[in-house]
Amino acid sequence: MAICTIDESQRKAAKVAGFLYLLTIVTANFAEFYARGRMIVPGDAVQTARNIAASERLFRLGTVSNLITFAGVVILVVAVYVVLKPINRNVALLAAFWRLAECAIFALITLNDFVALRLLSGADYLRAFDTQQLQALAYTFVRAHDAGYLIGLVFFGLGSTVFSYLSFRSRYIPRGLAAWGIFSSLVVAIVTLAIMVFPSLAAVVIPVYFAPIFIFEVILGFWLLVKGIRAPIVD
Amino acid sequence: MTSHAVESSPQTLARLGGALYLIIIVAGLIGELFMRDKLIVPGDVAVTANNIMASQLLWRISVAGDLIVLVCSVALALIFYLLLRPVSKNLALLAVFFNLVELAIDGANKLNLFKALFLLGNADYLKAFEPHQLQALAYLALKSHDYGFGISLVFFGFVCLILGYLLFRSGYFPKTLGVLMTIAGLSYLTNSFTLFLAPAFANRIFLTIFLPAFVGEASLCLWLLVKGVNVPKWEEKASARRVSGA
Repeated sequence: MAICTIDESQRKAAKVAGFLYLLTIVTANFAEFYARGRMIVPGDAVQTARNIAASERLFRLGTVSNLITFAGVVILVVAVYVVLKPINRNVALLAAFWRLAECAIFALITLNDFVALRLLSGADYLRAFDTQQLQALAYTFVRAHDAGYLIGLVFFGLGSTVFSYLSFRSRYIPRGLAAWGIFSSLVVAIVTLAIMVFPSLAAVVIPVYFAPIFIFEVILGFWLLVKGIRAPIVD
Repeated sequence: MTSHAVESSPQTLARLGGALYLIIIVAGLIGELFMRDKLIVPGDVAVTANNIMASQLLWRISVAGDLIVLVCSVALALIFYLLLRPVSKNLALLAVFFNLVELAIDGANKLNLFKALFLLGNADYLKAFEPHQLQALAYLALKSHDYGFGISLVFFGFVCLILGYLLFRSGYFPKTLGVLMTIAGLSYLTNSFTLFLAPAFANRIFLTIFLPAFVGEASLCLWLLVKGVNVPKWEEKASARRVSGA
């Protein structure tokens, strides 16, 4: 016998989740693809350093946008947990914990951005190094951000898979959408692990392998915001 | 409810929370202001390096003090969850989640303080670098620690905002505490985002920002210690929620 009622707190949480899916998609893509994508030239530490120095404001905005994303995800996670808790509380908590670990990791890697900026700041004490050395060090921290992002994505993929599985079971949203969520979340987790082992994969699959999860989160966000969740029909 | 009897009473939790908060505030202030701040000379890399190596023990004590703050904060997060759950279980959970993220970040951030020690440790393998290079890298690690703290405070800012709202709505804590904690939360967020977007400006407003934060947190700490929680009103709210099933 399925649970066939939805209470007010679940409905409200679903709206909050929908809004935050959309908000964090915008802020995350601004940070990772727009701001960083414009400045970082793979393999070219000198050009990357010049770009960052030339658009320091945009670089900082990117980092702040990332931090807003991760704070938003904390709220999103609790909202999704509230929606899905009646289906299976323990499994929902597991997903929430994975995604919480994701937030902590993601937030911590933004520290690399600030260190890179410092290294390129031209502060007096950095004259101990020559420009090329500083650019190389800064580039190392830029890359550390990317590597850290991959680590966070594994936790994201697992948490998102489990949340999607509970959505599938709940019938709160169309089952096709939830199934797509399971698939696209697994793709993120598995392909990310593969990139860590075979880094040359990155050039081939980034950003294509994010397409399924991007489509899922955009549709889910609008769905939750506009249509909300519906009580499942019990036979 | 049979399970109710084995749970700690809200008053015990409040006192324990107040005691933990006091440890956190005192240890936090001592570690930051009276230990590390004395050793770090802004802009002077060589003097900072010499100070740290001359007072290594003090440095390590300050890091250990920070860790005491962090472990107490984890326990305090749970206490706030239990005390404020009757107002809104979901928001109380949100506060715990923000708190855990904050503490994980700040815990990992302490690594930077050890990194400085490693770099200044005169180990053989470090002879690959010149002394002033090592000093610069150590100073960079200290600066990273500042930024890591700033990042963790974004999440703590949200904790304060949520606690502020829950305290205000509770009916068993004074509304003023709620307002003060909300102001504290806004101060932390302002401080962090100023540091990220306009670091030169951040140094100038640092104290003006931290004063309201300190007032908010110190008031909450003292209230928990001295007055605790209004138990009848807490019970009333808790049982009301139990009946409604929320």
